[in-house]
Amino acid sequence: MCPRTHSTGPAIETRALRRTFRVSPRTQALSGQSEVEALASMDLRIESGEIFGMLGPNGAGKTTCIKILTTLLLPTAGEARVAGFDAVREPNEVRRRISLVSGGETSGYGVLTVRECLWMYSQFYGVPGQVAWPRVDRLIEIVDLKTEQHTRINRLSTGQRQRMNFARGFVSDPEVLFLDEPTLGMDVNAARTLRAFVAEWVREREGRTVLLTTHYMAEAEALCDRVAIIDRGHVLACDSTPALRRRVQGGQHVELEVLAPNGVTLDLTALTGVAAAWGAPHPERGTRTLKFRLPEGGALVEVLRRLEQAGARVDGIATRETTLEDVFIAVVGRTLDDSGSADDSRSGGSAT
Amino acid sequence: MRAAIARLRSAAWLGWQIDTNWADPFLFIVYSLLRPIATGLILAGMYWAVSSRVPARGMFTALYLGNAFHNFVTQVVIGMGWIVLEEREEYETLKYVFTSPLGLPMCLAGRSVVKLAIAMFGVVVVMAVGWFALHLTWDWREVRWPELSLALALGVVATVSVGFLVAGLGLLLPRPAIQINEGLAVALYLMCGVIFPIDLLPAWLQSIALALPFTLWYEALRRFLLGHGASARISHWSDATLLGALALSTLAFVAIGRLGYFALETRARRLGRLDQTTLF
Repeated sequence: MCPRTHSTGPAIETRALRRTFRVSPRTQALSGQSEVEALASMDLRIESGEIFGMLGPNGAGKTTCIKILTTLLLPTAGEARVAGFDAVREPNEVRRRISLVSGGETSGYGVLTVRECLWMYSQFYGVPGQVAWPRVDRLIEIVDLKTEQHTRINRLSTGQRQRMNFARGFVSDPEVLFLDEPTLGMDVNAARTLRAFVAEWVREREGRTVLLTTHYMAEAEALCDRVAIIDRGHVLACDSTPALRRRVQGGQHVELEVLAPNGVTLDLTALTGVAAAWGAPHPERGTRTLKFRLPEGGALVEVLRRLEQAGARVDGIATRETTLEDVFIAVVGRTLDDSGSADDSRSGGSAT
Repeated sequence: MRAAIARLRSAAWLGWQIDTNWADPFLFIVYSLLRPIATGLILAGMYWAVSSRVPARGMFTALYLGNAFHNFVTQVVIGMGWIVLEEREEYETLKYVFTSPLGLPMCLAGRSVVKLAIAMFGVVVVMAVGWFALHLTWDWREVRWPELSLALALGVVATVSVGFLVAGLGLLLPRPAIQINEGLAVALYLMCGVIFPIDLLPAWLQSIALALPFTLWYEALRRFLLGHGASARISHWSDATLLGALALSTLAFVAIGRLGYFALETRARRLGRLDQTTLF
């Protein structure tokens, strides 16, 4: 169970929340498993007024959790409560109090204009017209779609549609807002503006809660009061970002840019306490980043020597402050953008 | 209650925008007129082509009328199946509708109101074409308005109820949803006495046809508008029996539609298929 930070009661609470999916016979034949566990007994408690982040690689269970909480999916077992209501038994009560934004989506009724679409969603939530129109106009300004407000959605660019989709989440001024990768694929400036708006929105309105899933560590660090690190349906760590960072303080965070021939294996287990993970490759340079925390007294030269022995060449070295990504690597055993190589580096002692 | 009506109105407004706003107004009006006119003329052509002689005028008028009212089934029943597909696959908005207080059932109800209006317009156009172009006429003084109104109301309720069932199937079975919609449209067209009397069906299929509200609906509409039906098997039923059977069948399908929809929606929610996109 996550430690509590407020005392006004939970906006979201899950107890032993579990969700499994049956796999297709073809996948079953390959993997030998009849089902996949997307959530494994997840306990979460998110207080009213919090911006809570869920960090995890693809397949960690973040979206499954959000789907259950937003009443789109039924859990296999356990309990999920939103704004005090059971998401399984009282879905209508939950729906009155929530809104959902899924990033990277270009959903919308193509025949409607931006303004019409936002107004229509406000009507779905029963927002009175005299409240809805000013709110719609303000949101249109915030997401920088004023000049496109009378443009049909099917004539908007992908980025513009994403911003409209973001605005849609706020037209009902929900008690609990679910943001599932909200800035995915957005340009940097738009993402920054929208992040600032989310922070302001929660700050200005008492009792508003945001559950944010993101791939962007900086986004989670900038926005979230607390963060849960999730992998394979388990909450591996859950705390405020400073508290999480303190877990991996001491030593140095090192990033090596490594030019390694295919099949190079680096065994860092011999270097006690070194948790290493490969970052995403840089195809244009043919290199890959190796990230690890060198404990106090650890010898960087030893790591470099072992890399050289393995036939790799180090093209660059950088050291930096502890970030949420370091916490993620320490807890999960790999970087967030390296979800495909889970088994390789899970032990935290070796990277391949 | 007021909030529910406001939501229903917004869903109907959305349906109107989607169903009428895809082309410029002139093109939409031309399409709306030409489609039912073409339907009526094609039916007339087909009927005369397969008959070695000009058919009995009364029978053709009865079948023509059934064909006109079948527009409700294609627009509303099959249309509600298509709403699920559009919301999920084309606009990718189903999950946002589903997780809003509007809810999918209310969205379906609101959008079906527009489809009913469009279907009604189509029926009027087809009947006008029959009257003026094909000289398929009847005596307005002989029309039994109270019975006709009651039958019309029951049929509309049955249409929307079966539409909910089709929408539920679309939620649970995303991949074959198009085939279900299209297959059902053809099956109902052939089974409900639209283009030929159900007497021509095998006996076991006739029993199924008689359990469907649309078969009884078309017969009732024909009887109360024209003074006769198309099926010999139903022709000896009294008016009360026919209306009673239609009411029972409608009631049964209201229950089946409601229970079936929520069972299918719950199953789709359990299997995680509500926002599963498969086509576009």
